Amino acid sequence: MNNSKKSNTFDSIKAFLAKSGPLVALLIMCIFLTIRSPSFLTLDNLLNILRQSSSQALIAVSLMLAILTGGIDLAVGSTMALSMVFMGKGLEAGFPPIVCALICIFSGLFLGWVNGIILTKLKLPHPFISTMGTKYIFRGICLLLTLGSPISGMPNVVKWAGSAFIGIIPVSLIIVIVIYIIFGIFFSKTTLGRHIYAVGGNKETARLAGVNIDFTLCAVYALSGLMCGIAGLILAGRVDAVYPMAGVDWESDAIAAVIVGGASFFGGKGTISGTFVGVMLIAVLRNGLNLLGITPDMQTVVLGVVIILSVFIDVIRNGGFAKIQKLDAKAVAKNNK
Amino acid sequence: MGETYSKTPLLEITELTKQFPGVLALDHVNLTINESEIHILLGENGAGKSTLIKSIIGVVKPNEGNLVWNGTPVHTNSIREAYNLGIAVIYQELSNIQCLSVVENMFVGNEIKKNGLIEWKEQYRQAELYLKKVGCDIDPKNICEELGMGQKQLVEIAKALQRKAKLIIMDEPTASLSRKEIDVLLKLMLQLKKEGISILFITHKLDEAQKVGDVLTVLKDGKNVGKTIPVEEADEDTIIHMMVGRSLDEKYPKRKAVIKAEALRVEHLCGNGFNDISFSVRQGEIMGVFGLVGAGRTETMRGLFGADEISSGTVYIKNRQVEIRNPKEAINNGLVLISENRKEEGLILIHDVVENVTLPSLKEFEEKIGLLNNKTREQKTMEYGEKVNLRPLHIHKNAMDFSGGNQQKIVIEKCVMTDADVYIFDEPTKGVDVGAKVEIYSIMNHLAEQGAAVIMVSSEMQEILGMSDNVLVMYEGKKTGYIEKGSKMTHENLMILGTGGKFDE
Repeated sequence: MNNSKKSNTFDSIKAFLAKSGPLVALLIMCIFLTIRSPSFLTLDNLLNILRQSSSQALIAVSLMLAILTGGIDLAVGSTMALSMVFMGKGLEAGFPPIVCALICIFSGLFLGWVNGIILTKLKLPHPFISTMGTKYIFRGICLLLTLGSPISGMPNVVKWAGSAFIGIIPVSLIIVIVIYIIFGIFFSKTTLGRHIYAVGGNKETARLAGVNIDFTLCAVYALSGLMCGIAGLILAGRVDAVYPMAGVDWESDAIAAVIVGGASFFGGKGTISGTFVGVMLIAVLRNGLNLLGITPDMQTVVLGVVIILSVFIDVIRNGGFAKIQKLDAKAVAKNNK
Repeated sequence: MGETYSKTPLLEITELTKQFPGVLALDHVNLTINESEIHILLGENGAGKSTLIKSIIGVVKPNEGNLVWNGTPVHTNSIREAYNLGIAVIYQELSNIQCLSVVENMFVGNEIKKNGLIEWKEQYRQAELYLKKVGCDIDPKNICEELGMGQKQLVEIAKALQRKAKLIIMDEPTASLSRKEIDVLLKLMLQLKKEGISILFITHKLDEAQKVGDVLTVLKDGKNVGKTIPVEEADEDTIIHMMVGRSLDEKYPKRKAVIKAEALRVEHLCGNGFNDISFSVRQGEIMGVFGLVGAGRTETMRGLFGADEISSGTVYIKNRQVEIRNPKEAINNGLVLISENRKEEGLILIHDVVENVTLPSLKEFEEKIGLLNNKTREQKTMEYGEKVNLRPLHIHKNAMDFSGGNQQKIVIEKCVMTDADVYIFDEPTKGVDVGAKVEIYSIMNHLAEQGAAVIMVSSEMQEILGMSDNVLVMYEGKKTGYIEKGSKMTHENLMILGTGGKFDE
């Protein structure tokens, strides 16, 4: 009786480890940093990590949406920057602050939708191409509109979203948590959410099952853009400025977060909680390397190594887990005889 | 017996056992393939045939048992090692690289080289030589994509011969071939046998087994069923009994459907690959659609379903004209298609049964503010899973982990859940074992009994004759005839119409 209970707990721990490898990696990293640097495990530092990675966390949702359909969105950084620049131009023109904030959010939605339209209407073979194109186009427009210089002095509503606190909790963190919860429900409990997985799992099967592929893809890139818009608003609030080179290369970090978080690069598989862990892993890593006094140049090298390692560990762990199962099966077969 | 083919063992497999997690895939299997012998291997899906092949070529490592090749014990560790011994495998789903030429496919991984560079001239010379040997009259420079299924198969056999294979394992090679191509292949097999090559021939089609086979072995649940027996000693009933473990009283179960009002009428449907197709199907009726591969049957059905564009034609469902421009509109109008390629078009292999089955009917599970009720989704999946007899009934298992017959049941369950009026089954029993076939026929009967109209596209004449009320025959994209149930519905008439001829009405 007791014995079987024990093995059940053991089994569930094994199953948990197999499922949440990135989470384990994150915990190990946190423990290591706590030992090495006394300032890591302080409330200030932890909240700081969460606050600083708010925009990146939203951009990771953008990439997760695209990757779930088997696609990619390389334009996220440029979309965010252009949304910010539109807001800046609105402020310069003297629009009310709240209108400018909405301009930022809905520009993102619109630019993302444009990505979707280009992909589906021109029947391009892969979003790698459409979003690589718009990545350059949007960035170019940013530079043209601002002549390369930042616009500073954000109104209070924008600053509130990016740098205010409610109690000790940063507002931006609350926004991120709410959005992640909404997406958790969206992915598991809405028709469109399930259609996104179906399109990524097998586009032809989904089409023959009555899924409107073009609509689903347009929605995915529009939602991706929407996240970029909100991320831009938070970033502008945090640094109290909009600048045309915001978010350069952010797509790489976001892709890394999504893949480290367990999503399949071929589409159809991935969870929002996994993406969150992936974002945190990269954020904690950057923060920890800073605390340990490692130079930014070296940090970049380490980040690259960690990305390859964490997915590699995943591969090994899955293989190893299968081996354990095989051994178990063998033992069972022997016992039966 | 008068026949005296040599009885020298080429490959002896003894007591082969393979344990997978939770499944004993092979349980002390014995099999001896002699020189110049066509050895038939039969068994339902999941009987262990694939694992046996994989063990022979070293893809799967058996836990116990021995392989003896030409009298010496061997251990194969990879396909390459198997090739070096003289064992080649030709899979049902061919492994040609589509975008490469025939000659590149034949020599990939085994290039003829001089000073590290590929000797193209020599490769062409040999490619032509071996293609001629298998009776395949194509230019080796052709791109594989452009070849028909039958030709691709011949290229694979030529490749095996070029590598001096003594034993060729063919895994359901005829599954996707037309009648004509099958005849060519069977003839070639007999010729290869004469030249001293042995063939392990895996098939679901008993008539083919009887046509070319010397001996046959049956596997069931990973075990041998009885001994290997000469083919002439086994009649169809015995074989089915060995494979299924019980006798099937009726291969084509009877139905008690009442044919009622018209459910679907199609007028002058035209599109890519078919021209001016008209027919009508009534509630409770099963209409067979017969024709050779390439007759345009699949194209017609896909056009009707909105999967491909049509150029003209009108469709009436329950006497109401409907416009179907995409599959979504077809499903909304009560028309569903069970595609012939279940892996590419019917299933999302990496998703579980619930996701697969409820995909077309998600809207029905929406509750307040558009949120899905996942509990009901699971319950309905269980309920319908029982109806189609899905085994195992694990609704959270991924589609790829089911056997062929059960994968087909998942696709059917998905369509049945939409509660359609018209069901189109395109080759519903392709690559499905005898037992599951009968279950699929029963599901079709049940649908008809409930008042649905069923269209069954098939290249298997037996199936058409056994199941259909009426048959539409197509040839080269055109309707060549419509045979009503009765004395006119015969093998001969189907074949005449199916090859473009006419018979006296």
